[in-house]
Parts: sequence; C-alpha cells; structure tokens
Amino acid sequence: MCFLVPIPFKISKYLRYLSGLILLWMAACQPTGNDTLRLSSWVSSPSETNLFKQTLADFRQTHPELDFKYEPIPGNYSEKLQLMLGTNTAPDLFFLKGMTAPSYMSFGILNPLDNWMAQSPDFEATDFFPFALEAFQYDGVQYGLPKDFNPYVLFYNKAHFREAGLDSLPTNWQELEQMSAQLTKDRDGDGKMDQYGFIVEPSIEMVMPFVYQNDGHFQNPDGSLGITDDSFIEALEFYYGLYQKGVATIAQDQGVAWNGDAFGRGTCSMAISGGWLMPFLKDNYPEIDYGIIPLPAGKQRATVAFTTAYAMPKKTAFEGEAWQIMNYLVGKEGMANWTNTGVAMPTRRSVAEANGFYEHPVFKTFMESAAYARPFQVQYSERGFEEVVVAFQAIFFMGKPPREAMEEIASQIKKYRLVKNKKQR
Amino acid sequence: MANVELKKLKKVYGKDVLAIKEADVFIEDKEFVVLVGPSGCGKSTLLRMIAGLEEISGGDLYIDDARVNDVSPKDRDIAMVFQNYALYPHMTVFENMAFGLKLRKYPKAEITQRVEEAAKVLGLTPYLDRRPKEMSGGQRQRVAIGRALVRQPKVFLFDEPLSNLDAKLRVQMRIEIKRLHKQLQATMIYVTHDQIEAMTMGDKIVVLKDGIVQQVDSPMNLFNNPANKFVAGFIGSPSMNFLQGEIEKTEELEFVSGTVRFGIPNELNLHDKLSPYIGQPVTFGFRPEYLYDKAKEKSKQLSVDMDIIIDVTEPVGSEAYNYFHFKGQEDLTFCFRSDSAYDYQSNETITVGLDVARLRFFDVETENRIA
Amino acid sequence: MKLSAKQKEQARTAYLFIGFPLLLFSVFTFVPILFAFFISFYDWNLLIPDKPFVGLANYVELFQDKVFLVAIKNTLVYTIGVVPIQTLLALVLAFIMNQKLKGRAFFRLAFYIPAVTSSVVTSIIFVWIYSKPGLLNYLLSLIGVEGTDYLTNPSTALFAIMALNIWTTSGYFMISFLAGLQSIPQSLYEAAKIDGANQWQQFWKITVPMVRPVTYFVVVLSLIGCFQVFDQIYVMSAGGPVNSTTTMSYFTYNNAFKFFRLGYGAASAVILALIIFGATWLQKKYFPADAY
Repeated sequence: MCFLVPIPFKISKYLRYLSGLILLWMAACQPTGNDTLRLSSWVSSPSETNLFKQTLADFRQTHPELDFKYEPIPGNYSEKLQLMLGTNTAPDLFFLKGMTAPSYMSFGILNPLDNWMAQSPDFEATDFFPFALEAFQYDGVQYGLPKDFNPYVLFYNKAHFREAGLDSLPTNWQELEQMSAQLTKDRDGDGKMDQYGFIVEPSIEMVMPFVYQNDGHFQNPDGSLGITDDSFIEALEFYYGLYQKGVATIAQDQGVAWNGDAFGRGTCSMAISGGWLMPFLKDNYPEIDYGIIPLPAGKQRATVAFTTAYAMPKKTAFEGEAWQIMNYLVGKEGMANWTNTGVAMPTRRSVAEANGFYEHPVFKTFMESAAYARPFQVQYSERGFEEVVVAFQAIFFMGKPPREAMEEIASQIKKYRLVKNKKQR
Repeated sequence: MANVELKKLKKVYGKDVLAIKEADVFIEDKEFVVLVGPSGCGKSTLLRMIAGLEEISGGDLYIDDARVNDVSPKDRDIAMVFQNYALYPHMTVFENMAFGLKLRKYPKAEITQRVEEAAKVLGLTPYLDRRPKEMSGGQRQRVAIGRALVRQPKVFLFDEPLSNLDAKLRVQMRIEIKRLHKQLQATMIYVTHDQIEAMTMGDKIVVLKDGIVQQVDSPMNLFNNPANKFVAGFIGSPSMNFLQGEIEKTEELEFVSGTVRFGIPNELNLHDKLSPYIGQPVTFGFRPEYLYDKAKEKSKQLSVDMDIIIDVTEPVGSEAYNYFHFKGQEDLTFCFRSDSAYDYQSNETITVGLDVARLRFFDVETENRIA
Repeated sequence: MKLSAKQKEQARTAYLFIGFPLLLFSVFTFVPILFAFFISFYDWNLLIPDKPFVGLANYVELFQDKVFLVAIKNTLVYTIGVVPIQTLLALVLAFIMNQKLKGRAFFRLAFYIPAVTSSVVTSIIFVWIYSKPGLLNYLLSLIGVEGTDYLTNPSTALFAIMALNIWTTSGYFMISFLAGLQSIPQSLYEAAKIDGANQWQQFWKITVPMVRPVTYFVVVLSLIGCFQVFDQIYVMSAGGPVNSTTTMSYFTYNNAFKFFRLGYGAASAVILALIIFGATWLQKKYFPADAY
C-alpha cells in the first residue's frame, strides 16, 4: 500500500523498528520449553476423572522417579488432539479411542510399540484379550495398548419384569420383541404409552451387535462394504422394527438426552448400554433395581466392545518414559488399580481372574461378553461414519425404509475408505 | 370565517405545573396576530395547543366558531410552519409539499396544480426536484411555507420560523411573509421572541409572560400605552428606563427619587390617577427616545432641568445610545437616544429634560400602569 | 508528494500507533485468511506430511458433494428467512419501545437480555423447550395441538433454530434502531400529524425512510451473521437430522476438524466468503445506506 500513502521517512529505519517489535513479541509468545512428559485424556465425567487421577497418584507413589504432568482435555478431544498432533505440540502419551484408531494409524503419526513390547519381559502379550489388542494393530504393527474395555450388555428393570409377571429374561431376538411388547404399558390411561419395553438409538454402534449376531458386517473381511447385504439389512430392519411396532421408544421422543436417562426414569424396561451406565444410575437414580445380562443372541452371540488404548505420537522426546508409564498402566498392577474402580473392564485375563471379576455378580456378565465381543472398527474415515448416522436419522426420523437408505449411501461411503498413509477420502 | 377564539385556555403539565393560565384571546378572520414574549413564556405551547399538538387542560378553543378541543390536528384545517422547517428529508420539494394533499387523497392533477402555484409564489419552481439537504436555510423555510400554502387552510400557524436564519435573510423573509398575508388574506398566528419582528409584522400582538397574557393590542398601542411594567420594558429597543421613587405634593405633584426631582404639570390631567399615591412609592418609566438634551432640543415641552453625566456612548450609525447616570446618583444607569453627531464624551455633564407627554407611572407592587 | 516536517512527524506517529495493532490484525486475521485460501488448493491433512497440490479438485468435489449442496441450500433458506424478519421485528420493537409506555425500561431489558446471554446457554435451554415433552409442546397442548420434537424432525429443525436466532438477535438490533429512532426529530412526526398521517403511515413514511442508515447496518450485520451461523447448530442439532440443519460453516468445521480434511474445509470456507462478499456487494449497490 506504499503507493497509496506517502511514507515520509526512510523505510529502512521504520523496518528496523518494526522487526524489533516483532522479534520481541515472538519471543514473548514462545511456549515454555517442554521439560516434562505430558499425559492427556478426555474428560467424560468428574467422577471418572477423579478416579483416574487417583490411579495416577498411586503410580507416582510407587514410581517417584518418573515425573509427568497430567493434562486432561475437556471438550472436543479428537479435534484438539488432531490439532496438537498436526502442530507437533501433542502430549507424549494420550488416550486413543478404538473406533477412530484406524484413521490415526493409517496416517502414520503414532509410535510403533512392538520393539518396546519385545524389550519388556513382563509384558505378556498373550494375556490380553485378542480383540482388544487387535483393535490397535495396523498392518501387523502394534500402535496402542488397550487399557480397558466396555461391552454392550442388556440392562433390565427388575421391578418392571416382576410387575409384568415375567420370570425369565430374553435370550434371543423373538423373546426380546415379545417381552418388550408385554412390558409396554399405558399406565395412566391417557392413550399414550408411559412405559416401553425397550429403547433404541439411531446410531451405528447400537445396531452393529445385531448385525454381527446376524452374521453380517459393516465391512466384510475381504474389504467390501457389507451394509447392503441381506444380513445387515435384516438386522437393521429388526432393530428399527421394534420402534416402528411401538415396543421400543427413542430418547428424543421422551425428551431425555440418552438411553441411560430414560432407563433410569423407568420410561423403558430394558436398555442396551455399557459399564458407564452404572455410576450414572448410582448418582442420579439410586433407587432403581436393575440387573444385567448379556445381549440376546441372534444366529450367534455377539456384542460390540469399546476399548481405549494408550498411544504415543511418533515424535516425542520422552519415548522411554512414556513407555514406562504406559507399561505400568496396562500392566497387571496398574490395570487392576484402574479397573477396580468399576468404570471399565480389564483387558488382561489374568487381572480379571486375580481380582474376582469373573465372580462379581455384575462384572462377570461384562467379562463373559468379552469372549464374543468385537470392536466396531472399520477402515473408513470419520466422514463415512457421519454419512451412516445421517442415513440412520433418515430411517428413524423420516421413516425411510432401511434397505433404501443403506443402498443410497453405499456408493457415497466407498469414497471414504482409508488407504494406508494417504487418505483417499 | 376563519376566526380563532381562546376562552380561558389552560395548560397544566403533570399535577401542578401551570404552563398557560387562562388565556383569553380573540383573533379575527384575516388577522395577522403575533404571540410574543421571553423564552419560557408559553407562546409556543399556546400555538401548539391551537394546532392540536398539545392537549388542552382547560378552557375552550374555537376555530371558525366550532369547538375543536378534541379534534385531531389534521381535522382542524390548520397548517403549521416549524422553526426547524421539519421538511421530510427523503422526499423532494415537490413531494414535501404534496404530502398532506396526497394523504387526503386529492386527485393528482389538483395536487400538481396547487404545488406548482405555491412554488411560483415562493420562487421555488426550479427546485421542485431537489432534496432539502441540497438547499439553503432560506429556501427550506420557503418550502415549509409552501407545504402550508398548498393546504389552503383556514389558519396558518408559524412557530418562530425565522429564528434559524441570519439577520439579513430574516428581514427579507419578514417582508415576504407580510406580503403573502396581504395576498392570501388568510388568518395567521405567528410566534416569535423578537419584539421587533412582532412590532413590524403584527396587526395585533399578544404579549405573554410566564403563561399569562399580559396585553393584547396593536403595536403602537403596546408601545404608547403598555398595560404594565413588563410590557413597557419588553416592547421598544433600547427598553424603557425605570426609576423607583415617590410622589410628593408641594404646589403641584412631583416625582422624587434621590437627587432626581421633577414636576408633573397639571395640564396632563394625571392628578386623579396619581393622588392616591402621594407619599407612596411608584415606579417611573421613560423611554430612551423621550429624554432630550436641552441645549439641542427646543421644540418640545420638556420637564424641569436635570443634570446627567454620560458614562458610555454607543454609536449605531446616525443614532447613538448614550448610557448615563443622574448627577448625585452614580449607581443607577439609564439610556437615552440622540443624534450621533452630538458626539457626547464620557464624564460629560449635560442638562436634559423629559418629554412631559411621555411620562409613565407604574404601581410598585402590581406593576400595573397607573398613568 | 512533498510533506512538511510537521506532517512527516505526524505521519510517523500515526504509523507507530497503528503499527502494532495492524501487525496483530495481520497475523491473526489477514494471514490466516490468505493461508486458508492457499490451502484450499491442496489436499491438506494436518496429520499426514504429504500434502499434494490438487488445484481446483477440492472445489470440483464440493459441488458434487450432496451434503455441501444441501448446506448451501440450508444456509440460503436460513438467511432469507431470518434477515427480513429479524430486521422488521427489531424495528417494530424499537418503535414500540420509543413510545411513552409504562414499564418501558423493563421491556427494553426483557428484549435485550437474550442478546447478551451466551448463545450456547440459550441453545441448551431451547433444546429443552423444543423437546417432545418440552415447554413449546406444552403451550401448544393448551390449545389442543400436539407437537413433535422439533429438533429431530427434519422438516422443523431448521425453522426451530431460525426462530431461536430471530428471538435472540432482534434485541441486539432493536438497540441500534432505538438509537436511530431517537435521532429522528419529533417535529417531523408533528408535521406529518398535521399533514394527516396516522400512526401506521407515520411508521412507513417517516420512521422507515429516516432509519435507513441503521437498516443498512443491521441488514449487513444480520446477513453476515446468518451466513456464518454455527453455535446453535453445533449445540442443538449437530447438523442433523439428515443434514437438514447443516449450514456451510458447520460443514466447514466438520470437514476440516472432524474429518481431518483442512484443504477441503478451507475450500468450502472460501466459497462461503465469496457468497458473503457477493451478498453485501449486491446490497450496497441496490440498497445503499444514504442518510438523508
């Protein structure tokens, strides 16, 4: 803009002034040097965070020589993590969610752990449940260590069952539908149902157990898309059918935020959820008398498990130290310490056995589900998931027939298939 | 007949703030009446009550013999010219003038005809397509007048229309408005704080002070026969001089105030009016025009000699205003007018006399005129 | 251009004063804008070192992306719906507030509070109001109308959010109009009264033309704000259901930060910027702000 405005003095002098200012300002803005290891997690609930901090405190006591800073990330964890990884300011150790792990692994930004695993004699990879470890492997390389898992199980309201005169629990799809019908009641005679047998959620994770039970896949073992296969559509139609037939409700119809809330209020007699529902019920609906059973089976038993791992970024100054912490936290002692809080299940069989998880009246159901649990993970990017969510919304909120909805998006999602080290959209 | 009558018209603000106190005024058809007074005297309020922009708190207002207290402004058949013109800035001159007619759904042809006629009368024809902001103050005022003209109302109301103009323009516009009045033969009510404007323009003048009508009279009558001290001091420039003193009776009646003493000749027939005040304080008033230098003025019948000492002289062209005090009384300053050629100097002592026909006396308490 | 020593001195001081803020502005606004424009031509994933130049491929893909096209449509519907209603409502409210009514101060406050409350907070409150057992349906049930969950019904979700925005931002613009109204001389209304205008005519023939500069300002801000609507979408509906509330800025956010495709997101942001420029240019050309 120099030609628009007269510059009445020597440019060089002014530039000197300005560059001095810039340098001064930049120096002031430098982040303070990184001299301790940084560990980050997401923030799901205050109680969980406190429990985690407790676990970390125990670690500090037993390993005082290892110094680290715990920096929880509230809010949008994955967006923030992505930004930090992209600008080389990522924490040295962080939580990695199973469902989105394929994206991160395909980008090649995580540190391979196989060497470290080999170097640690007490690691015992075979102690882990295979599905948990495999969730964080890519191209045969291990990128994360699973710290816990939570499978979907079926929660049921004991009082409702008693009231309805049901003395058994659903073990398959027909029974699920029948019993839901019996449990659906208009209590106050106003023509509208106040209690539903079941509650569904238009999300892919909720549908997948039924798909797996029906021998279907989102992504077939050969890599092709399975969402238009009969096995998938059948499961989806069954699941949606429960809502259509009025024996299941959805959270939005009840004005609550999620299934757990509806279950706690007694709006539904059964709900599919994971271990996180238990502390929620304890805090908000302590009077409810509920039980937990494995999901009813279709053609086979199956459920979806959510697992979280610890991972390291490829570029970190504290590789060794991070491994030590990671190894402890997923080691027998650390894992026992964490999972004993009841928030999630141990991914090590020995830990489960040694700490009575298989005997515990509630936890044993979770542990048994581990035998046939699958992580829901596919080689598709986040956008692919979004498209499926949209399709589900069309089914549940606009009444679109499931087959039509799935066929429509099948061609769309193909674009979002992850390709190694280079996302092909 | 477009006469306007105010009968005991009253305006109260809130509970007890009396803005206009029982005004009684009759305005004849075709008359040009000026409402004049100092700031805050209520003249604008009175005008706005006639217009319908202010609620009437008491009394009756008649326009053309019909009581219009509760009639809305647009139905009173009046038009108003505002001090700040109040022209619609987003409309052209033509549209400004046509607005009222358009709202009343006059046919287009008639609107055009009226507007063009008014424009011709006011010299606005070349400006019909302009916007107010492209015009000078004087031109805008003409448009405001034009807007009132086209309505051909029964009564024209002017609210200090010339106050925003410069002195020269004011004089020019004064003449034009008077000319317009003569041409239209319409009833016009005009508000101003400038007594010169009032004197030069009004057929009849209403003098107001603090919401009370002081006097309603022709200009010359107001000048020569003011009803009270306020009117006497308000009308005329420079204003009348006042001196408080006493009436004494020796052989004739005399007025005494400090070192000033002069006799009141019997021929004036003021004896009856003044004798109740013998020994009482009165206020004496004399206009600057009616004090004469005895050395220069030979023709008039003047009072007994009085010595004055000149303080300051203000030459204003052919005339001069001379400020003086009576010999022996330095604290009171008065003014008299003279030919500037006499060229009085400060501290000069001259002998003066009053024109005895022009002596005015006022009651000290009521301030009403005695004689 | 020759300048005197004094002018030089003044200019130097001026430059010094604006130098630092200009620097900040450049670094935090100009440079990112230019950079966004720049990366829109690349396949830019923050986490992959390889960022190939793809020319206009992002733009081409955008126009074939069904979700993007829906986003454009949603954004236009949103803007065309909100801007006129919001402006008119703000002006009417201001006009009413300007009359000498009882309890004026209270009403002014009541209308303005939603404007200064955090948009996230009002969004959350309205999620509850709009829910199936929420306040709105309760009020409707009093007159015998049964409602749905407005935010999960694809045909009502966008309108629900539009209504929310009209309500919150009208108060803010009402203040601007109030200021504009108070600068209209009372004598204009009096002259109009004498000319024969009733309240309605006074509003349209005096108030509306006289507040034109404010109207221009309000419409421009309103347009820009509407084109960029994000908070409410993010909190209330996450772009759904079935993409019915996905606006262009939400689309940009998703693609850039959730799906890791910064180049693609940047391209959609550039297109949004062009649309906003176009709209304000059109307005300036055909509805200029001339004050009278």
